[in-house]
Amino acid sequence: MHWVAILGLASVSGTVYLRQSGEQRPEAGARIAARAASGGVPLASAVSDAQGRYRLDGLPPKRVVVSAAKPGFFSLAAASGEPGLVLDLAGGLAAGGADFEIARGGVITGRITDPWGDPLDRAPVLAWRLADPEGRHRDHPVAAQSDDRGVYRVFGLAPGRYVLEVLPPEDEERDQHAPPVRFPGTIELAAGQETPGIDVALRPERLFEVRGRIVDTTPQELARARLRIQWVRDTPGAPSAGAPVAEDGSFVLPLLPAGSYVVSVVGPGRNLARQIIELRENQSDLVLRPSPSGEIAGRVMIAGRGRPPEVRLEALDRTRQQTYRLAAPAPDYRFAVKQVWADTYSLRAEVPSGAYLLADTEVVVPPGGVAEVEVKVGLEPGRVAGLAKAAGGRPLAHARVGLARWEGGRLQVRTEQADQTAASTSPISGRASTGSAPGRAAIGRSSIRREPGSRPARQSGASPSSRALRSKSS
Amino acid sequence: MSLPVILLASALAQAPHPEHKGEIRGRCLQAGSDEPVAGITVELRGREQEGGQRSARTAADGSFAFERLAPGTFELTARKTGWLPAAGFPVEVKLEAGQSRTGLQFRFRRHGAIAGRVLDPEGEPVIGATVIAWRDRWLEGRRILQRAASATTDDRGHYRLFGLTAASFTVGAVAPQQEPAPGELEHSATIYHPSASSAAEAGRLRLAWGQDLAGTDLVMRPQPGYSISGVIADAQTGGPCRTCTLRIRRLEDAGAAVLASSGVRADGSYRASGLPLGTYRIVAEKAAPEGGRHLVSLRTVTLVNQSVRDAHLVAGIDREVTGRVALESPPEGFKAERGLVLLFDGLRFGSVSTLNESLEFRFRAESLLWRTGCC
Repeated sequence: MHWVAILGLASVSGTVYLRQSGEQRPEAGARIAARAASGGVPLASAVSDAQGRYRLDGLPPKRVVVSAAKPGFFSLAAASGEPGLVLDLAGGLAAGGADFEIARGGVITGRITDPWGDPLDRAPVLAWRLADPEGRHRDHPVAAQSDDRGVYRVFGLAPGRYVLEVLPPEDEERDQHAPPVRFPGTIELAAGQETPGIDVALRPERLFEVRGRIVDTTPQELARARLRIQWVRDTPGAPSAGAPVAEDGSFVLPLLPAGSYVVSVVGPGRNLARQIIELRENQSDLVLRPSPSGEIAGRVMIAGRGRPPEVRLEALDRTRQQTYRLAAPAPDYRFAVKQVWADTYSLRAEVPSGAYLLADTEVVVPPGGVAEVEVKVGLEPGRVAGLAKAAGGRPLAHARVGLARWEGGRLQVRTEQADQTAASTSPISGRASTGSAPGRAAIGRSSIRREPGSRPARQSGASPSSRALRSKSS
Repeated sequence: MSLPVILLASALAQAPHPEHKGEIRGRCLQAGSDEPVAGITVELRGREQEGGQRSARTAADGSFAFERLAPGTFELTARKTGWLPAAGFPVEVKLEAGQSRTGLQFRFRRHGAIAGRVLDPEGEPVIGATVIAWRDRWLEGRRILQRAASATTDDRGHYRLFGLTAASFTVGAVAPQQEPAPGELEHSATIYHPSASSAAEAGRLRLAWGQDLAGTDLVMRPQPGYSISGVIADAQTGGPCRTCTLRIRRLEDAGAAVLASSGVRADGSYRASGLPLGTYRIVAEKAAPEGGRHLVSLRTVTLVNQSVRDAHLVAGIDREVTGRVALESPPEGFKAERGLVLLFDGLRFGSVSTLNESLEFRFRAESLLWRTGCC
């Protein structure tokens, strides 16, 4: 048997700390996982020992994201919006000091009842943490299920403002979920706080009927037409339904709750009709007329030296229900997509990893026309480098430095990268470096490893966290 | 579980018909005592009528009624959180023109629940553990465990298993499961109430109808666990088989179900941990290139009194068996175009297609395990 030695594998080690009442102590039983920066299943995982220590071996020499989790607890870094600790293990490093802080999560608990006050069992309950003052959801809610007493308990919650939703049972007759029922208002949760009494009573919801017809089309098209109605809402699981179209073009949609909907009809090989409706009462004669589709065509202009085999773009309409994926292959990076509903679309670069649009691109597709667009895409992130210092001016090793971009008047944390020196042989230099798309940005401290017995470092970063920088494109 | 949100939808979908006079009436009662059960949702679905369904809710005397029904066949179902029907639903009712059906009786029993905490040896709650209740069943004189309900512990270690019938139950808990990393096959042993390592040693819980058996706590003590580790090599390259997937089965277990599965680490190594003593089968499957065949290798390892560190495998060896089946004295007039040869490797059959060439069947079996087979 022949064996080939595998060289260049990297390892990551560190300690998991529990933060409680301002104190920090090593925490056992936390699961630490390293994933490729592009996501996917863990490359390696480990459980912290009685001293909170862990070690991940056999990692490939590439960029990885390391994260720590323990049921009932939340990671302080994740709560501040970081995807995890990003480490570049190129060259097969042994990265030490990759520490994590976790804290006991908060709890929201209450009862779910039916309209008569009886408990409702097995009702899914979702707690969405709000990402910003506008109330947009974070991607992943924390879920629980009510028991036979109607009692639910969502736990392990990071501090913040929450929206609580209950998903009513699936309606077998219509083969769809009724819309989620939301607890009125938001729930403010401090670290480790338990908020009881968040009771939700499901009420019968008024549902409306929509009858209508498709006009000005051929019988051949009607015979194979597919009609679909989608609720315009940012909540996953929002109702959508289909309905058959009769020979004379008439249709009856399933009963639906009030709201804004997109009704679209697709015929053989082409889009037929599309209309946005506001459903507030029964509609007995919704007339859908063919609306000519348009086309998006154009070219991707790449900033920097990289020339990937393909750049992919995503066009999202203003209802956020319709997505078109566009591929622009080398060498000319031209793209075209036909049969696009006439609407206004926002574009974003999808791959390769790290690609970004140099400017927000909005595309207006006219009915029956072609929207010509030139999209500027950056592939090589700019780089900001500096020295992280503790309050006394001492270089601060193992600090994590965050870079946030100004977008639409708000700071959006986009990149979070470990101090490269934390993974090098010189752990005391405190030199930090992070990459980002060009633009106006701010650098700030995120979370700092604290040596056991030392005073907590209060501030780091190449500049005060509020100072804006203009990053340089490499 | 009732369906409050669709009640209005149901009413709209099939409103009572003013010209028809058919009725279905009945009561929901508690089995044994015949006490009325209020608040049960009864649903009626017409088979021949145009679409839709109707719902009613039982009154304080347990009664329900559907009026102004057109002739036809109807299906009735009824449900309420915390109650189980004594007989099966749906119940079919036929109505002729102008006919009514009254005096229907549906009996219900209040379900049982088992609740408690899962704790570690220090008395700290185990969060996210899966707790399972198995009902005792007897099959050919042997007691078998049939899974009846499961729940997950919350941040206080609390669990609650509900919807249970009156029976004898065994309750067990498994430590929180994590998404496995490649090469890490973790097996978590089940701990049985109150703190037993096997179902045979577990305390059995006798549950009556409507009983809420609180305080059924379990203590998860660390079980002696052994490990099997090694390296999976690729027969073609001689290096690690990075595209291999691994499965581990315990041959002493009934059905030899897969205990854990995972990929391999970048260096080809793997480690299966938390294993009790016994005989295990490690199966390495090399992913097929497009249009190709999956190639499977296996190795049997026995854990006697210590962990095994050199359970290496070579994956991706294509083994095949070819041969022919000749019929020496076929019956007169025998005609066949195809035949079937089965290879039995002691664990499963592999089927092999054959071709007819003048009553001589040639066969070819590919991607075989490295084992002695018989046909």
